[in-house]
Amino acid sequence: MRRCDLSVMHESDYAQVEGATEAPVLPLLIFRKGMRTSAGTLALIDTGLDEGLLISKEVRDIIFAEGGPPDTHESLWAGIVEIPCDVYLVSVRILDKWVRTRAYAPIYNGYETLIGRTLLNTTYLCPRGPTKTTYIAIAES
Amino acid sequence: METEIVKKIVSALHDSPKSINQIAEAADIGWKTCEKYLESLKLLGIVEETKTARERVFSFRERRRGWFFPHARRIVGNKVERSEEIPPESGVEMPG
Repeated sequence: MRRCDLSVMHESDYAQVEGATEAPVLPLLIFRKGMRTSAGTLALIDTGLDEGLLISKEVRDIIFAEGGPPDTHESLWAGIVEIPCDVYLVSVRILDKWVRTRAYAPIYNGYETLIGRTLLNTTYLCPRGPTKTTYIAIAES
Repeated sequence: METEIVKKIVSALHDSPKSINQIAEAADIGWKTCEKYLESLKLLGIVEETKTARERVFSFRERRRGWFFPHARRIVGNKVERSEEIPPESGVEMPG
């Protein structure tokens, strides 16, 4: 059996989700040009989301108020369901590094902030279900 | 449009592009009904049509980005809090 050669840098507890079992989350800072400070929030880890980030109404309201109107508009698709979104170009801090990404804000309210594969693929993650903890790691050189 | 028929057509197109005949057979519906639904789905931008010399072939449009389980479940107690930390002028990565 091959041993893991990663070093754990950070641990993040699973979060309780309304009406569902606990889910892995990551703490993020989100910044857009024009903002004076970053917005910090928890994001659900969603490996089914193709894009990097989907933002809640609360985050969208701050980004819009301080950074101005969306950069563009684009729809996300879930099967045959179209979800129109405002799109904002933002920087996201995951652990200790900042990454540029597109943040999708659905025009319908009620969505949680989700971190999708475009950003997840920049990290080493280990969701440990039985202990309800996500390890964030770096590769040992 | 009836949801069940749309589901059958979407399911039939999941693997690969197909002709109307093939879709109608897989979805167990009539050719005319199948064509009517495909025309509607084409108008909605869900599928696209390619015409060959012998038949009309339908497939999913590939431009879509999305996700499998669009859920609106919220994290209990999740709040947006402000942080003085902002990204450096340089050193912001672009994901591959």
